[in-house]
Amino acid sequence: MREADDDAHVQHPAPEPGQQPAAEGAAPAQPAEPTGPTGSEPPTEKWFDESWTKVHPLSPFVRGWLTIVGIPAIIFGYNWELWADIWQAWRSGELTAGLEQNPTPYLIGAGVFMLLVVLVFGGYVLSWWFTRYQVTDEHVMVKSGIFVRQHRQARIDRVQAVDLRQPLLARITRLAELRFEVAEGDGTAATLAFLKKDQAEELRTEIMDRAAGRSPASDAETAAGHSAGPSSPVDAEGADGAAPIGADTSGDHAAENADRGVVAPAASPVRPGVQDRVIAQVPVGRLIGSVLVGAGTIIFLVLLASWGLAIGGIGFAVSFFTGDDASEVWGAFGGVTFLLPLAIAAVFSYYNEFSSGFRFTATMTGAGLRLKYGLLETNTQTVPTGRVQAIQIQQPMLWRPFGWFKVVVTVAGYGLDSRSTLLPVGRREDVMTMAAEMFPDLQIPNPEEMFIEGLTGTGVQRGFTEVPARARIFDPLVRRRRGFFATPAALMIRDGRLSRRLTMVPHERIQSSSLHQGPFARMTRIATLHLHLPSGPFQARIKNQDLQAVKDLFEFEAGQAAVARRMTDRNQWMLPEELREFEKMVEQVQEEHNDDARAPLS
Amino acid sequence: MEMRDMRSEAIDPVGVEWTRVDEKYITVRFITGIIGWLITFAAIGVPLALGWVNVWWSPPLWVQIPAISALVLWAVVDLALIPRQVRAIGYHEREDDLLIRKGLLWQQVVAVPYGRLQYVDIEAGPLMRRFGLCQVQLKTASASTDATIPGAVRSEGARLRDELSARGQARLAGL
Repeated sequence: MREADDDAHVQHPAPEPGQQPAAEGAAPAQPAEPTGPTGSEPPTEKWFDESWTKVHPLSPFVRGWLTIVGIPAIIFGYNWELWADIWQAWRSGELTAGLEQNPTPYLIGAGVFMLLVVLVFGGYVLSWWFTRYQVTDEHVMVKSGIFVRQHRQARIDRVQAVDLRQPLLARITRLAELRFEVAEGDGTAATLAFLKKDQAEELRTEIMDRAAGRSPASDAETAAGHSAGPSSPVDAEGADGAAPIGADTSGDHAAENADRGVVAPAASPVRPGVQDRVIAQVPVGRLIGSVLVGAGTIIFLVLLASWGLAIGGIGFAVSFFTGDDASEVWGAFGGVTFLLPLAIAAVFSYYNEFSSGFRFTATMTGAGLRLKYGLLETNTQTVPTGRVQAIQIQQPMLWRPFGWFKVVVTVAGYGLDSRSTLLPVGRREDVMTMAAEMFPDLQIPNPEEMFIEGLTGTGVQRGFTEVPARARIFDPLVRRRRGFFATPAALMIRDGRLSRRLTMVPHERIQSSSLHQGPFARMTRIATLHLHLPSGPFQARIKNQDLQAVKDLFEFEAGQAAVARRMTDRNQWMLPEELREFEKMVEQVQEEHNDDARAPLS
Repeated sequence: MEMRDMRSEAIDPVGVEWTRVDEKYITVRFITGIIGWLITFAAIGVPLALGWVNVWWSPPLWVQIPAISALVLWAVVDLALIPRQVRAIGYHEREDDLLIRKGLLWQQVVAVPYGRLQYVDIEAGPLMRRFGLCQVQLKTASASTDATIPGAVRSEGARLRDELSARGQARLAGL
């Protein structure tokens, strides 16, 4: 079992095929000779057989188009004057004359050029030929590499999420890349690039089904009465995908509306009867606004201000001591040297934020939450509800007047990636819908009230704790915000005064927990609790709480972890009867714990 | 195995009898600590000595003396604290989880539920092997889980690994 898992992370220091085609193509003189594996392996043991499928022939070009376009662009751009001269010579007839006189150097030049083209092309063809994939009952396997072979595989039952990516050129050529995330490790387990878009979608649906523990066969049974399962959602998306880059928004909106009002009999093969429905969208206006007043702007302003202060201070100091004109110093330090990089960084960060939120649509499907976004490059990712380890709702400082929030989640395998954003910017209603869909029921009578309390509230009135007044010195500003509230299902942690955060973790998702106390904390009888989760965009920490409260919580979480899980290790929550059975078990165990004088948190 | 009572600290769960790591681990820590400090002193001392014989630039004496004494003081305190630090490391197997505590000034208690264990790692460098010790590390799906028992006797380490793995298997819950 471990071996198989380890295989998922095999990563040779091989150059990515297709990205350095010239280097690869340099060795074999006859490139496009499709005779299977060459040289390094005995002919009996084939690197792959007929059961391995090739990716789309255009893949290396879509992946390596930057090289094809970039290198000539650099060559021509770098010494454009030379080319201009040649052009002039051509116009004046000088070149033709020279060619007639002594053709050798021209022939050599043309030959080298042609050779280069052939090598690059050959490298691409080889890299395509040697990239194969296979989907078995248990694994997705991808082999690639011409000289240094790479074999990556991901166990399907461990697949956490499947993403579909379409870079700009792939959109034009209607191809798509599939990325499989597994639970272990922080890298993508396997990448399939590129397949035809509808083919990729079909494969994604299939894999998601299998990851959910449903074979296509049993699927057909459960979906009996509906029309053929796996193809239907693909069709729904196909309509959307049929609008390539040039399509205007109205066309796409039509597709989205079609998505929303789906009446197709079998919306999902995973949970038959669940209809796709759009649960959140981000209008462009709000996106632009949120980017402009977001965290990036604050950093930018702070940097600008500190730069201004520093330069101003230095300038005055220098002019004071040397008697020079201060403006000379400013000229030397200012403008280009500092502002230009800053401006470029700002533009990139704005563009990234804008691009990853552009036409953001979150659709609830049977297989999980489908997120679709992207400006030039479109991304479609599906986050199964059961694979969300923890959720955090954030509100940067300047978003407060607008009532906007951001939702990020921890999904094992996503790591710190920007893909962990469930909603780049949304109103409170969107956030509540999203949390209700992607997070288990809090199992309290007033979930919405507590939710809002966690987002914006302060003080202890509604059950949240706060940093004790005796420890005011540690948290003068956030004292009344920093606290937790434990529902029967999950732990809610709120924090942050100027920019607010609410973190929610289902008890059974906590891997381990630790209690920390420094000397000063000991004096004021407070402690900090860390809850350990798979690596994600945020950490769950409850800082500076009353010692007894946090010790009780520590014991409570330990007791919770002792009992089994509320959800199976699949894509979905337990079925109602399973859940009832489980709750009974939990009660039993907790009674036992009570007998052991381990009081659970009330 | 030393069984003397460990002082119960404020953050320790109620009614937990800590098992200490082996006393020989103090010796190991002394050796590594002394080597570390010797390297530090060599790295600082060589340029200073060169300065004294006027080969190298050296800071004025009024900087050197306090700086060096501060460093020496730090080394002495650091080494002197080792026995107490090692005696502050403890672990305790509860029914459903393993508790590990450490730290004198900055204290920490971690609870690792058996059901979340992915694997148990045993590690022993040459020095640790020389003293018949090993380090037991517990791994969960979270990289932030910091659960290490340094300086367990090797037989105890093997017992812990088997025991923990067995308990983990029985309660396996995964992610």
